[in-house]
Amino acid sequence: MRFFDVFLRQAHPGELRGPYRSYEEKLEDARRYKREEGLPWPVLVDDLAGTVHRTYSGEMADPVFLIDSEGRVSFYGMWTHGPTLKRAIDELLAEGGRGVALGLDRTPHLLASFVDGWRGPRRGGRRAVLEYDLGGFGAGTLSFLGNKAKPLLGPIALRATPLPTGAKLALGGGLVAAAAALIVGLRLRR
Amino acid sequence: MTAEAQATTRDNRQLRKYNYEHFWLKHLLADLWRTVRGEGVQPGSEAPDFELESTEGNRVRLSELRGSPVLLHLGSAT
Repeated sequence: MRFFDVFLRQAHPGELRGPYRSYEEKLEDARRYKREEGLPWPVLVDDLAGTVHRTYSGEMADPVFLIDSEGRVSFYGMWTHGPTLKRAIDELLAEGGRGVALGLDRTPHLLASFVDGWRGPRRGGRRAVLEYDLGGFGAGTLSFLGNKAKPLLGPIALRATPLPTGAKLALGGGLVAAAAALIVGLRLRR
Repeated sequence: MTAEAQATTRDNRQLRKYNYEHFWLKHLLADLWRTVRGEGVQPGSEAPDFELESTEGNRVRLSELRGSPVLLHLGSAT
């Protein structure tokens, strides 16, 4: 299987990285992005008009596609999510690299984007984070906090293998119990 | 204004709109609306061909990669 990134417009432009005004500027920023993210696979640069971006996904901010060995779309994740992608790859490879694996994933995987989505707007600068907050119901701040809580939430939100349903229920129950204990504790202190 | 100049103005306007200066709520709402509609290349259909340049200067054509599966992640620096 071959991996590629397709490099898109600035999703969160700011004072540090503004919108691209030329292809050369976009290409240069793609080189910097590959370096900063330490990506081992090729980064392909979409044209300034976003032709591949718009053809493939409308203009989704962070989509992912698996294409099978015959050139057909096997999986389309509208909001890239590691664990779901891993599941789709495993399924596609188990089918010999052909056919539809998982199909269309439309779930906006918000927890993962808050835990791992800080680097983007931060690269744009303060204005980018502010606008992400204003236009995204506090998403800038949530990404900042999610990044801080990464050691705690990373193993849950960014795991490569999806948790079994039982573990998810236990985890959810645990969080609710912890919140309840906290509230009771605060009341007792008064 | 000549027809050619009008076309250039329209292209420039579209480029500015695509490469927006500010992220607004409308961008998020547009993505959510696309999600509801499931907009994009549907699983099972042929992946549209393209040829793009990599940061290392190689030209990559999707249709030339047939024979093994391909993962395409579309992402932004910001």
